[in-house]
Amino acid sequence: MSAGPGLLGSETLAAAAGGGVPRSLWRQAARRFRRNRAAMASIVILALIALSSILVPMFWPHGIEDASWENILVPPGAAGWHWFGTDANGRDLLVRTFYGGRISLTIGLLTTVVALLIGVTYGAVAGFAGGRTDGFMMRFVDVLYSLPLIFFIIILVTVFGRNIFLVFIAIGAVEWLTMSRIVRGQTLTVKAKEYVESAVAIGLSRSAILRRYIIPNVLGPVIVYVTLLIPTNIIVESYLSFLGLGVQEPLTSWGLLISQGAGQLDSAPWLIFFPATFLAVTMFCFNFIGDGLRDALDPRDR
Amino acid sequence: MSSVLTVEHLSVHYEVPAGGLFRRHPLTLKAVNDVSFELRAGETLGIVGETGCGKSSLGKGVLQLVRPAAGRVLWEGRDLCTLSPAELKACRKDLQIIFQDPLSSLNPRMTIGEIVAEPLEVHRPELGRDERRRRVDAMLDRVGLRPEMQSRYPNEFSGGQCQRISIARAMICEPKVIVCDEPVSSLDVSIQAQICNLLRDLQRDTGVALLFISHDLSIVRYMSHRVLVMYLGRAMETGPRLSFFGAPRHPYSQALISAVPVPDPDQADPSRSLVLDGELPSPMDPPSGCVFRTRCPLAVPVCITQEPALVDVAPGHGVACHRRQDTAPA
Ligand code: SF4
Repeated sequence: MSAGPGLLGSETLAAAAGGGVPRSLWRQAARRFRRNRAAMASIVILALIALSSILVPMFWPHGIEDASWENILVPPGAAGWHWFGTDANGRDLLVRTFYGGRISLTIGLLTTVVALLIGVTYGAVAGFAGGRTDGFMMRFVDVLYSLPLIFFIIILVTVFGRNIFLVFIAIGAVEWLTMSRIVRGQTLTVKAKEYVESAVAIGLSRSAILRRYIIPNVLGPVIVYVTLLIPTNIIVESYLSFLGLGVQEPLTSWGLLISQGAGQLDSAPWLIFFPATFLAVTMFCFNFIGDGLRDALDPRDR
Repeated sequence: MSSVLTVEHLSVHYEVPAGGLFRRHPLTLKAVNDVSFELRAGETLGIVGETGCGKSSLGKGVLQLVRPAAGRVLWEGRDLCTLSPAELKACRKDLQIIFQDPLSSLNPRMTIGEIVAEPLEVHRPELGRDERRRRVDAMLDRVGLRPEMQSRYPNEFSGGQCQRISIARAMICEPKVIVCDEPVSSLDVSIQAQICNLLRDLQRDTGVALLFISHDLSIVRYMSHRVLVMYLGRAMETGPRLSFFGAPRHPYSQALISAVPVPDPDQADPSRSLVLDGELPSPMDPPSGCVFRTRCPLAVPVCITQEPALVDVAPGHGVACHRRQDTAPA
């Protein structure tokens, strides 16, 4: 983020103004957020899913690749620690689901970070520069926008081969487009606000204007969009895996598990039920959190 | 009275970038064209005109919020237009602005206390925290807000209160000049009067000079000592309030004044009522000669070819009209 150092600068004039400028507002937002039950519950559930995704594969009696010919397609039950049942190779579904959660969540987060970094920098630069630079930069985004993601990823996969890193670079590289549009639009809006002009009129320095006026006002929608982008990216990874373009065996992800389960919907419905439930719950949680953040961060309409 | 700010031949232009299929070349919008005036200590100069006449651009050009294309703004013997950003910054302590939209002129992410204290931080960093706080309290009290409101955010206030906050922010460094850019236009009528009175009281107490920009003639009449009428970026008429409102000499001013509703209809003088017809011409493509000629009831051929100069018809009362002799009251 181009604006990072300013935001974190320790010489903030604002802090001298009587109790820290941004913090009190963030604190207000935090208070509003904490009052939002759906969002708070979502955070707890997400934390549980994330923690189990990390811990369960470490301690569960079965490994993710432990095939067993005696236990093929065991339905869910307490017997033999196969709570979620087993798949056609006799591998335990519970450990695979949580392991898939690791991959799905990691991809969701990493791709979002990639999109965030590129998108915020690009959008902020275009918005600040304005004029011809802005026009040129945004036309470039329009051109990329018109390329379908799948097409782009198929090209990447054919050229570079299948690779999990490639998958999230590709998703991040496509998802930053929307981010850059949001950031640019917001920057333009904020730049045109009279309060920015009033800051110029009192003789505030450029960096202080950026730090106290532009960034705090641009940041809200970006944070909200990030929480909505994570689930989007998890979904994108899932359908790529479903199509066989994403995560490959022996690794697994929710999308890949769903794809494998879909083939045996009639004979072993639990194979699709568990990973799909986890995926759906995660989506809902992120969306509730995004909504909660939006309401908390926008002081105008409450 | 000595003049605090002298504006000479100021022009403010905007480049409208080339765009689309139909316009290959950038256009220049001449928002302000060759306008001169003086602002004296402790007085209010009202700038009147229709929307789009360049009055706001004039205010912003004076404060260098947009850099003027030509002309000079003399402030304490120096031309603001030629100052470096650092030199200009020092001058900003004394030259302030209040905007039209009260809510969008306050940063929604800062508290009232921070908004009002900010100019002090910039220009009086030597003041301690307690002293700054004391001044902010006093200032808020002065503009009619309770100092306890300091920790609140602008969205919790009404339009009138937000405008009081803007005034507090503009006044806290004890400036010499404040440009009031339509400060009451977006407020309810009852609140307009409160804000106008507040500005007048503050002027009386501090001697601040106001450049009061408004499209509302009755408010300008109430607020101003002198008036400047603008049309399509040019000054049409300027004069002291009594002389201007008593005997306006420019056909445009006459039309504007006759359009203001009179409290007592019996006193309205039908013979002097003039109605403007026609549209306001595009400022991109102003008429030749006198810019008002397309709507002027008195236009004559010379108005098409020659732009009238601003000529004094009475002490301090200038009119830019070829037929200024014929517009004198009978
Ligand atoms: S110069 Fe001519 S057109 Fe312009 S105001 Fe006077 S009479 Fe009308």
